[in-house]
Amino acid sequence: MPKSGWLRLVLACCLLLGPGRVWARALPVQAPRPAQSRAVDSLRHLLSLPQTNYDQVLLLCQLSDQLWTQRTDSAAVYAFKALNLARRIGYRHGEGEALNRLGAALRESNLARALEVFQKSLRIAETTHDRALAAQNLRSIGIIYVYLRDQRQGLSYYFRALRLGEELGDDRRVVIELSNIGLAYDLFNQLDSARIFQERAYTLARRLHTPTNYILYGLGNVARKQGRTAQAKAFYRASIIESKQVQHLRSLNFSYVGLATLYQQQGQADSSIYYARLGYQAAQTNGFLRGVLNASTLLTQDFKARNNADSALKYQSLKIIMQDTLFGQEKVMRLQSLNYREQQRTQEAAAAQAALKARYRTYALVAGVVALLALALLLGRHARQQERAREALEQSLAELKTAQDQLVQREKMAFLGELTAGIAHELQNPLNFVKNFAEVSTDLVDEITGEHRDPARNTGLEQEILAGLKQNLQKISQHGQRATSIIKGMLEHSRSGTSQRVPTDLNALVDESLRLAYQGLRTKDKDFSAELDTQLATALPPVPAVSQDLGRVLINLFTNAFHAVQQRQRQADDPAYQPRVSVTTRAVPGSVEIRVRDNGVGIPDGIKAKIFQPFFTTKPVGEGTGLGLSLSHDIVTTGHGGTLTVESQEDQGTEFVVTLPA
Amino acid sequence: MQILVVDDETDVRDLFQQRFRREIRSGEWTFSFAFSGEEALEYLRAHHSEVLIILSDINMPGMSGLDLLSHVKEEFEMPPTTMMMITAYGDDDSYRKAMALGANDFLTKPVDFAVLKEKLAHLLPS
Repeated sequence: MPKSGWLRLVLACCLLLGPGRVWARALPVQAPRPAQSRAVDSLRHLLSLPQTNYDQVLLLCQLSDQLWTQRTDSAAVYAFKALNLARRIGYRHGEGEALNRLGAALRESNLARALEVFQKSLRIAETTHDRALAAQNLRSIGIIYVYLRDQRQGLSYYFRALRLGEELGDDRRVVIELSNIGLAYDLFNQLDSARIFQERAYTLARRLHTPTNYILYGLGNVARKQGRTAQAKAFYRASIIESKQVQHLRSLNFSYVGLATLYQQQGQADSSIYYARLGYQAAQTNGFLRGVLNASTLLTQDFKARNNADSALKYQSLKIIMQDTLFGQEKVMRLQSLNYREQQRTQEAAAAQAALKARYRTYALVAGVVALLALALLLGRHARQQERAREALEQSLAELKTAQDQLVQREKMAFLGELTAGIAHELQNPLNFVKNFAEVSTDLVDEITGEHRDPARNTGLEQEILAGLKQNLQKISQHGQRATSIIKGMLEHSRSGTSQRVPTDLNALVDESLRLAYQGLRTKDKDFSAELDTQLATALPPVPAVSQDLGRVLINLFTNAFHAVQQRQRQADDPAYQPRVSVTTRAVPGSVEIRVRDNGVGIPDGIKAKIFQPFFTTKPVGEGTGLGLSLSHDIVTTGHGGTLTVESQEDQGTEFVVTLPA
Repeated sequence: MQILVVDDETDVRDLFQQRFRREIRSGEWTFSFAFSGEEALEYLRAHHSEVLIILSDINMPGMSGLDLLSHVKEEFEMPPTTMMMITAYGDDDSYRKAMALGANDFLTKPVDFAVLKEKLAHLLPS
């Protein structure tokens, strides 16, 4: 199965990432948001009152803050509103604030985009000399690096944020930075440092009367890891009570999971399950994927320990979904951020070099030969630096490319798996013929030499039998050849590397692909049947194509179409519904068009834009890699210079149109 | 006494002719062949009264075996033609459809010729 390969990759990632799953639990704090629905209501009320656009932007940001602890989706909506308004009225400070909120809301679903948004907000803060906003963004970016387990970068951002907070005299900010630093140390099991910073944060927070829900969780973690069990329980419980008071579902999730981990370590599976479930619910309500992952991981282990296979399996599959979403994204991100840093370094080097050149021109007359020598040295050093940057960049690009190649190969194998069913069926016919012709030949030979031989030799009959034998041997050879070419075709499908485009009979390819896809599905689900409607243009010009690539695209489209009608048939339970998949080929000026249409479930508008994206899939875990349509799109556009488009209506059907230049 | 075999695989003809060589030579049974549903209908229109048994594959491009079955049942009510359907998929759906359309028997591929011979002998008392 393709999934198991993917899982292995994820596991390999986990190993690279260091100490087990502890990392994700030590999540830093975003802000001291005293989240109460009362607060949300009163903010909503304020928003309805007349006010300046400027105030409105800030109110929207505050609303986003409040909602972030409860529902990440809604937080994103308000951040977007604030951003649009700020941009419309040219309010730079507001734009920066809104971008920061947007980043916080995006961090769960799209790490790369979140980082980009935070950096944009940081640039605005720097150009407008807005130190509070800068501190906020330094913290947010630090959190991302901690997510990526880059402790050095993460801590360096946190400490910059801490310094700014201290300069501003903003103690509330300082509390959070201290606690975040504590959690970053905790993540790498540097428990003494973690404890010092959490305790500093706690003392300060108590003095200021600000929330301590996250700090208590951090203290609980340190206590648990240091074996101070009773204290750890007390800290977690206190954090749970406070998290409930301020309705902070994320810290609630952390503390429940912390407590559940503690019980698991003590071998009390029932208590562990109880608290992990509560943690799971809190994260689920908030839309906090990492929290869901951590709770599911614990539950899987607990249920396995209790030999409760069903429940373990349920949480295991949840865990896999979360891991796929989070780790796949993070691996790519780590590579990209490497890339990004190298690009920045190269740009800085280039800028410095340009500045040096300008200065040289001004002082050239005075500085003379000495300056020239110094410059030569400096330039030499820059050249070396650039060379190093280039090497690092090339290496990270190569890594990215390998990762991509592996994914493409995995999709190919998955595709092959689907194809095998269809091909096994194709092979059945020639093999039947080989068997039958061989058997009938044995009978013929018996007739001349065996017991039933005519004692008076009948030359005519013998001649006839010999001719029959010769014919049968030819048939056996022909059908053997037919089986060989079917297998050869299958191997071609799995071959890596690019092939030449050669003039191809599209109608034949369409026909073959439709048959393979249909048979592939029928071998899996015997009772499935659909009406197949092929309308192939008679005078279709040959089209330059790589037939095994284009065949994959077509089989993929047909298989999707069959799945869509199958799904509708199952859902609708309408005896009058007749599943139908049709394909037409048509020559249009300059190109050839293939339309694959089904009357299946259709694609909801919300996801239509995503279907060509890699890893997007609507299939359950374990089925489909989410790469089929993305690769198909790639094959048609980059591989053949054509287009692949989709039109679909829910509960009506879907039509994919492939256009290829003739 | 004719048997019409309908299959899109043309080699089925040679196979049947070899398998039933004795019966054909003795004139017991006669086989005709059609390689699509459409061809089969055409043949039946020309030689209707001669054909007693139709042996048809279900999964054929164009007119499927099931389509052919319903056409035959509609168009040629008298004398009743015995229809045996052959399919590579032993699926319940095809079986139910074939039986509902009035098929007399149902075989799955690969065809066991000994069984087929017995069934034909039973249907065609010589």
